[in-house]
Amino acid sequence: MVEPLEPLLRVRNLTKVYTSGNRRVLACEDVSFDVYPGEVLGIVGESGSGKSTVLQCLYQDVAPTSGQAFLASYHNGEHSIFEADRRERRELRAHQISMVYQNPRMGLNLMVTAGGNVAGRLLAADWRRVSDIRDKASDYLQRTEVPLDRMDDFPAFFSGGMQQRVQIAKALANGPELVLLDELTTGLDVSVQAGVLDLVRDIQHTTGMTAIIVSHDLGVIRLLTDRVLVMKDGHVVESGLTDQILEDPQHPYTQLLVNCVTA
Amino acid sequence: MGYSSVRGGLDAIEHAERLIDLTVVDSPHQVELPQVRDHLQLLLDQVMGEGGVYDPDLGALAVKQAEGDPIEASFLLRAYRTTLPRLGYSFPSTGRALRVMRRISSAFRDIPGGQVLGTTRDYTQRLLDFSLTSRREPSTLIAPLVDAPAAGEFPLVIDGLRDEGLAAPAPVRQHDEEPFDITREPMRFPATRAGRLQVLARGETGAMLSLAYAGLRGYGGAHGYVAELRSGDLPVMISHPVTGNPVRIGWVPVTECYQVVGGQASLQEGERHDYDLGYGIVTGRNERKAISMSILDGSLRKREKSTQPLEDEEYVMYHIDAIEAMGFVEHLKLPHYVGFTASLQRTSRVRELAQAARSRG
Amino acid sequence: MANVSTLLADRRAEFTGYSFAFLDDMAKREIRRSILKAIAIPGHQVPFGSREMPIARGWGTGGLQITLALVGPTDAIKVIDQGDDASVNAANLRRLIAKTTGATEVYATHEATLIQTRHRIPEERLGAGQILILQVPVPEPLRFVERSVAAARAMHAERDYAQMWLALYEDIVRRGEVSAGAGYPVMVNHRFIMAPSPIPRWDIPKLHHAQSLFLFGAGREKRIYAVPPFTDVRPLEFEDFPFDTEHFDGKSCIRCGATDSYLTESPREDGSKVAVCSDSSYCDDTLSGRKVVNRW
Repeated sequence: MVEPLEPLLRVRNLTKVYTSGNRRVLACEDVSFDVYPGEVLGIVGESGSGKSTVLQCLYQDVAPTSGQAFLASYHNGEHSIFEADRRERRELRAHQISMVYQNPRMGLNLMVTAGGNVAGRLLAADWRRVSDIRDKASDYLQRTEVPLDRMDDFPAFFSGGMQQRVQIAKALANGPELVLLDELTTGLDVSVQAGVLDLVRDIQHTTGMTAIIVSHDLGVIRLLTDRVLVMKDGHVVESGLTDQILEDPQHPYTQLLVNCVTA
Repeated sequence: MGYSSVRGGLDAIEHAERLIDLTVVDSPHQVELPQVRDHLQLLLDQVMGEGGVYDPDLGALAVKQAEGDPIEASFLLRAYRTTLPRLGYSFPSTGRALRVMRRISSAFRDIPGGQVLGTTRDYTQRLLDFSLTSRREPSTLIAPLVDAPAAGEFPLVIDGLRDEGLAAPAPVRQHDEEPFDITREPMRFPATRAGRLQVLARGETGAMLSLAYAGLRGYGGAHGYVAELRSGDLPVMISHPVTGNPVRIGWVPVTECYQVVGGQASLQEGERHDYDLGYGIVTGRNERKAISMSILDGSLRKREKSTQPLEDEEYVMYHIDAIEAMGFVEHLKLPHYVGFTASLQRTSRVRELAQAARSRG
Repeated sequence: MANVSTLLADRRAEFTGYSFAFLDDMAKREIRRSILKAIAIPGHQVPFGSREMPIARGWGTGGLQITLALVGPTDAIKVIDQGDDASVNAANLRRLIAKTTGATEVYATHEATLIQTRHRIPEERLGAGQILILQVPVPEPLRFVERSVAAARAMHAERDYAQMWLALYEDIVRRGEVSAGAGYPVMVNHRFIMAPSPIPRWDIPKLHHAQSLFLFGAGREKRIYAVPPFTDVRPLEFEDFPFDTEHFDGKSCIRCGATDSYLTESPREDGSKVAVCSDSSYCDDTLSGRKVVNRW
């Protein structure tokens, strides 16, 4: 008999409400889902649906209003990562969870070379041989198809696509358990988008990384994800295997989304 | 081999001291301390305020000894002040007890108690007055001087705004706590308001003027309205050592500036008032610094994260103290040849490495 | 009250009107408490209520406050700047300390009980009971990777030094080695990264497992920190880019002929250069033939 697989991440009733003056804006409410090891989960919805807020809460850029998220490697999955103190939060980011932002400038330190950006995660993990660090960093940069002669240049002068590749290399360095990818092709030229998507798919196939990919683009979701949540106005309206949802959408909103693309 | 490598360092500095001594005292027109006290009042006020000692005799001595360099003079006062024991603390003063000599409001045309122009150069023409090149009699006043009105005759303009709920209420002191004292404890950030006001009160006039000006020009300073600018004498009250009753031990001349900043109605829950207070107080007459201080205090009260330099506590508070700034900037005059040797070695080493890399291709 | 003119008239004149050692006793007690705390937590920067001093900020007020808090009338004090007792600022500090305490002024390193220094550790090995007080301009080693004092403090508390290591890595990548000359950052007791003050690399190894106590004072920045005797102090280095000191291969001091001391070079009028020991006491000893232990 096969052991039932434990989820890597369990998110329960995640809710985020922004207040602006007397106005309360609901970003997401009661979002719950599991992510299993090696699985790529997609979250799809239009802008304002709350899908990016979910990622920001998980990466702890934003404090959720309520809800919990249990990571198997954090206190054996017994405490929510939202209870982490500053130090634990830093450790989580250094070793367990990494993020690829839509805007690569958010995820990169532009004052540091491309290699240094990738090396940062290794240094945080106490690597202390420059040659080892450079080998590892060039390995990741190569995998994300950044030419090695650019390794010691500053990413501020790179093209958007190249910056995004460096950011992905940085996020993968030191083998995080969970990679969060937020609209990773949205800011890129169409010609570059395909390359980045291929890259992520190849990396997923070779490394078996666990990831959550947020996108408004059903093409991205179809290509990269195993399962998908559909979000509208801060709520999950439908979820299931990606093929199933896209072939046979049940919720009227999902039907609308799918029709828009195929039409 | 230069001024430090030889063993004559002590002789050299003692000769330098004698040269200073000559410039201070070797003249038939030696400056008398009462001249400084009576006629260089504004310089004296600045020096005493930034030196953190209110004592016109010591201040005049410092000005004379420093050849009129205000930063050097306030430095002398601070170095003297630090040797004095802290005997106690006065009662807090709300400023309502001020014996007013001048008060104006630019926020209102008229204010309860009336505007009092008092002594100001604001509306004079800046023309050199050649009649001052020699001694002359003072001009006569148009109206006779009247005694300063009693305390309480001039209500604070800010109190009116507070009563209307437009400005944040005056903070209530919960109990008689010992104030945070920047001369006894290092600053921690975020700073307490008491610590912040003390740093601002000792800050250098020119530095604060520059920062406040940069703020008004768009680097984060709050452009508010001067609700009230006033100067006069403030009673210093302490607890009588035997009876415990409040007793007045003297008066200190001060200039105060109340500036209201903000003003866009906030809908934030739990907050009713619309204006925040930027407060400035200096000893003596130094309106330039009092206004600058109120601008800086106002901009530092913004608590949300900001990238504006004037809303960054550390940026403002670490860089307005003239004694610290001048010491560190001028320490570049000290010899640095040990470090420079180390730097030269690194530079040539890096150059060699670069050359080796080039020749490898 | 003593003033400039009485002191000028007679170097030995009584210095009255001020407390013993200038600072009042409460201030000295407070500074001594901070020193004790600093010794208890090697490498940790202890904030203290730095007093205004009669010398300027940046000219040694931190070191001076430590010296004045510790000095007694029977102490032998030595003050050096760049290693030199006769440097003008050193002479000024030493006469202030001596004048306000009656302590003996000495030049010889081995005779001193308290040594206040700027930018150098003496060549002669200090022994148990000797205290070296270093003047510090910037106590925060993380300042150039984190501008905010509050944020840097949190980084120390959490031992979050990845930014610092990244800066060193970037240095190596771009320049071929770590470019810090004077003031090379060190790890103290496996816990805190510490700024050793702008001493040359030459002096860094002396901090490791020394017999003497090192105290560091930053007056303007209001911090005191310490390296107690026999404490582990190691320069930050990568395994494959080991730390290395200045070299003076083939050069010798023009005055005493020493080849084993830190030399500084001065240009001569004919365009040539002459090298001299920066440590004047060591130079004197070499010249007089006194045997000096300079292996730390």
